[in-house]
Amino acid sequence: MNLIDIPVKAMETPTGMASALLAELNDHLHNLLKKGETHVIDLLSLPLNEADINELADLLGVGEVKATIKSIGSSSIRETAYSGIWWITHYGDDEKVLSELIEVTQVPEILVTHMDEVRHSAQVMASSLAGQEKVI
Amino acid sequence: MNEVELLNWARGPGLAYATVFMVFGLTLRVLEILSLGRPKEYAKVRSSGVKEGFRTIIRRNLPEKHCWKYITATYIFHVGLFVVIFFFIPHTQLFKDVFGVFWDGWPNYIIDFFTILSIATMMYVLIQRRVNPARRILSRPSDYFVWLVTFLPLVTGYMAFHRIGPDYTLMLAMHILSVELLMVMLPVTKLVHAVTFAMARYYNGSNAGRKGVKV
Amino acid sequence: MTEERVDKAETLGGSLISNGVSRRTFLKFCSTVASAMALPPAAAKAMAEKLSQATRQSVIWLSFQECTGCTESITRSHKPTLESLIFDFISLDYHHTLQAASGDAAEHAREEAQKKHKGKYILIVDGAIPVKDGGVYSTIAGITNLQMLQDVAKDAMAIVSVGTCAAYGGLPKANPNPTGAVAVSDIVKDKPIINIPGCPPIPVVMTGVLAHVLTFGIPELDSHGRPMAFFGDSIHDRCYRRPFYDKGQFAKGFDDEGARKGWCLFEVGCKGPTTHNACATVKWNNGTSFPIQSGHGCIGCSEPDFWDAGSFYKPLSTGSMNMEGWATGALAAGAAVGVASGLLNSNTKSKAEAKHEPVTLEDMGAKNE
Ligand code: SF4
Repeated sequence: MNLIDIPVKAMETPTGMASALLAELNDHLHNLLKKGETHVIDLLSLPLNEADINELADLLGVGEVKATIKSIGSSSIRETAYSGIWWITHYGDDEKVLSELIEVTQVPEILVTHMDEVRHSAQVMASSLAGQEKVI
Repeated sequence: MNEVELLNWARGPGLAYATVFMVFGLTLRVLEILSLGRPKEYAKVRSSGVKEGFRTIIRRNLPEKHCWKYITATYIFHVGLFVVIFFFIPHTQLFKDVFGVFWDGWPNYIIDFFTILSIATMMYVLIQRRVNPARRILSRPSDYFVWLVTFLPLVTGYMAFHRIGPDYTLMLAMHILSVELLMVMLPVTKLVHAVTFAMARYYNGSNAGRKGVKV
Repeated sequence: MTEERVDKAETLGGSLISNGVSRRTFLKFCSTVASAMALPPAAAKAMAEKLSQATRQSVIWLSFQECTGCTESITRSHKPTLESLIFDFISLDYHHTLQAASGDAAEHAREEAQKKHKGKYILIVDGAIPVKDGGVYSTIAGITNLQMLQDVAKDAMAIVSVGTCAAYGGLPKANPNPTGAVAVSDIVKDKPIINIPGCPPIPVVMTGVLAHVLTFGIPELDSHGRPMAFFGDSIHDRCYRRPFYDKGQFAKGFDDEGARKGWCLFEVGCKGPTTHNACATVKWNNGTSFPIQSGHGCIGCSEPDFWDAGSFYKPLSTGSMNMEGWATGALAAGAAVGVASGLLNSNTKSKAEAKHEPVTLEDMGAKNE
């Protein structure tokens, strides 16, 4: 058997991207601190393999917040051990990963209740109160 | 015509016309030359000429001392061309498709090596044609033309494989078209030596031998 | 189907909430689209803001010479997927396959939308347009496809050609093209046209492009009118079997050693090197797989004239025409002409020999020197 006979198997070894990302995140943390600038990194758009993603997850650790959103498919939002760095995974209705993001912010955008929804719920509340009054 | 149409034409009608023209032209020329036979011999035949014929095929293949660098360069690019044309795997698929014969291709890194070697030696040979006074005088426009026609497929093929240039589809189309030009030029220019060189040398050698000239 | 909603001219953000699509779902949709289109991640928020401020975009969908596969592709799921959410963002005023109305009522809906949103609606087309013999080969409600396209395109803001048939003529245009089918861009010359080819196109590509048009306008297009975000790379550029191609390790059949080892499919006809699409990254059926991953070469369905590029199973480096016999024919013809000219030559030669006279020095030009 010579070299050419050995089939290539995609070896999932870390490429070192994770520590590069860490350095980038460090900058963004400082930006958040000094200028209040938030930042989002789209992990799927980077050439990361599974080993890289695992390594990054290990490096960032697990923080104290974990939230789940149930919309079409679920979304999981976790704060990492570094406060202000959030790991967000959106799943489709079949549990496939649709997007995977890292947000450097105080509260991830998707958790904040939008004013449109507050307005809507105020309306619903008002009408259900009105309904109750009638019943009484 | 956009690059997709160009490629479709090159792989379709273009290839068919070029193949037919080349096969027709080469067969015609070889048979025509063979049918000419020998001239009438007025002198006494001194030898069968077979030995001299084969000797000449070999002897004319050996580099002369005074220009061994040039000859060696031409050798390298001829061998390179041979390897690249006949042993690049996608090319073997083409031969299988058109002529129905199949042999195994060689790994890409070998092909790559020979392509670069051929390109480099062809450039050297071209430069030599210009800097050496004797060669410059002997060179006619058609010599530069056949050089170009041989050179283009090498460069476009290399670029296509390595995805150099604006667009792969376009490069592939250019590569195939340049090969088709080469195929069409093969029977009608001195490029015909690709199929006639051995018999031409044999003829010269054996002719001399029959006349008693030592070769 | 959504006419009342349009009448309220309500913003999308508001109307979606009352329809049970939460703001978060909305944002999630936008991040997914932005990620698939390789937009900067921050664009997701901007896209969501813009979408929610927008009113529902009027869309007229015309289906011509086609197989409905494109519509199937985008609506295929019985569960609401994120991709199909796009239908909540637009007002599909006419789509004769999907709408409940039929006959006159349907055509009225189209005319009304055309009048009401003059110059503002998006026209989506799937299917090629037959133009031979006055376009009689495909008509809807007695109107030829050609007439209908010209009529509706006139007042459209932009046109999206969905599927290879609308974009480049596709199957109907394949040799010998009995109906004289052409692409939308062969007929409409004065409107921006976005091509989303594929047979069918990938759902998220359709969704992504529509979302982009609704928010940031027309995306950057390549020379074939395709959005660069999805069609910028070839399948081969992103193919996971590429290392085998580079090393020259090819499967020679669909069930041989090489096929089992997952080697490159070039020799069994893969057209990935010349095909631009997002299959290798976005994949199909919610990211499950794509043809090459399931062991079949790419057939090149998002390229113009892919039906006429020869067999799907012949390598790209071979000719697309069936040349069996051509070479032998040429060989025979060459031999025949060669022998004929040989006979002619030997005839000339023997005549010359018959006339042979000894050569004198004078004959050779050595006159009186
Ligand atoms: S399978 Fe097709 S796309 Fe993939 S590397 Fe081979 S030729 Fe290229």
